[in-house]
Amino acid sequence: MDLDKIWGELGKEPVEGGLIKGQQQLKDVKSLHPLIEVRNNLRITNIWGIVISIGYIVLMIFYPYWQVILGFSIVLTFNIVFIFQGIRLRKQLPLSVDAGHSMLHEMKVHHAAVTQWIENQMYAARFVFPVAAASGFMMGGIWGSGKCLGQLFTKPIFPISMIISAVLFSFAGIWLARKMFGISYQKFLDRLKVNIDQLESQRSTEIT
Amino acid sequence: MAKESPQEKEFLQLVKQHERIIYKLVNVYAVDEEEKQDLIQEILYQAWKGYAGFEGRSAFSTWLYRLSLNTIFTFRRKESRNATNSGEAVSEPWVDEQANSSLEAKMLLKAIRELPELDRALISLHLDGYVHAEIAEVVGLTETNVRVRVHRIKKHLITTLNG
Repeated sequence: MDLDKIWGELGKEPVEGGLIKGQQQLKDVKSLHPLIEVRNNLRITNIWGIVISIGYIVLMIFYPYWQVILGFSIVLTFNIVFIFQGIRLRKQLPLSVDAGHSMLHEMKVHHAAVTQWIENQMYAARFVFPVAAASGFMMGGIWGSGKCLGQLFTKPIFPISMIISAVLFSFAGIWLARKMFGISYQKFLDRLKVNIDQLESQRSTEIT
Repeated sequence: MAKESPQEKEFLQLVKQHERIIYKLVNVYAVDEEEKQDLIQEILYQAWKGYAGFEGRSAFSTWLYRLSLNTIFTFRRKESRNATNSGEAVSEPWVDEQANSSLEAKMLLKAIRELPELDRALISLHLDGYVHAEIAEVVGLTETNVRVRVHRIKKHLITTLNG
């Protein structure tokens, strides 16, 4: 049986209309590639990071209590660090699929890029969520009660509630973030990993 | 409509000449129409984006083949299904359109789609005339690995088709 000959029969007929009918369609072609999606997400995250940082500064101006300023200053510092990390990672991400490398190399690059992005986001979440929750709680307390922070802290219920809220909010936020990343990228990463592992195990096996 | 640049014109002509490569590979990896369209669009996007970097050190067909495989392997999020496993009726609009395709050709495509993902790449490259050294470079395996694996896959396919 001549497999090459049978294979050659497929696709002999011209594709009706062709893949691209003209320049307009070429310009309309959009990418749905996970890497492009990560690049776009990083840009959106960075823009939000800047907007939120400005928001923290505004809140610190309007609520000049040292506890609020301390909390938001910590979050602001982390935010700035993560914005710079995001910008750096975005620059490092490949712009497109490369035909100059092997499938194995390309899959490794893409797997590493998406994994690093998720790790960065989770790392940020672990630091930012607790402080942001505590600072928000203090600010809400001031806003809602009309009392100053010193007065609020005289009642033990306030710091206890603040800690509980911060812990619950942080766990919920991190769990949700993990879930969202899982829904969006886990299958993609798992598929890449399976194929990478298969190729690497075949490479390391001397077949005779 | 804006005038096509010489580069665009050249690219469109080359893609037109070699569009079989994209169609064949997409049909080896995707089953449903939506996934096929997404893959075709992605390959075209990546090819157009990478075309400026195509230096002509290899034939355009080889470059497009590599790019298509690299895109397919880094783009798809869901596990590649095959018609048999998914329980769907074996309906292949693209294959059906190939008026000259024999039943054997349709069965071969079906058998290839039932292979593991990496084996599909190896056999597609082999059946399209790439030598073991080239396949090894495209995939990232050693030449020995490729030779043995291709031999085994071919044997398996012949058994399947004869059975």
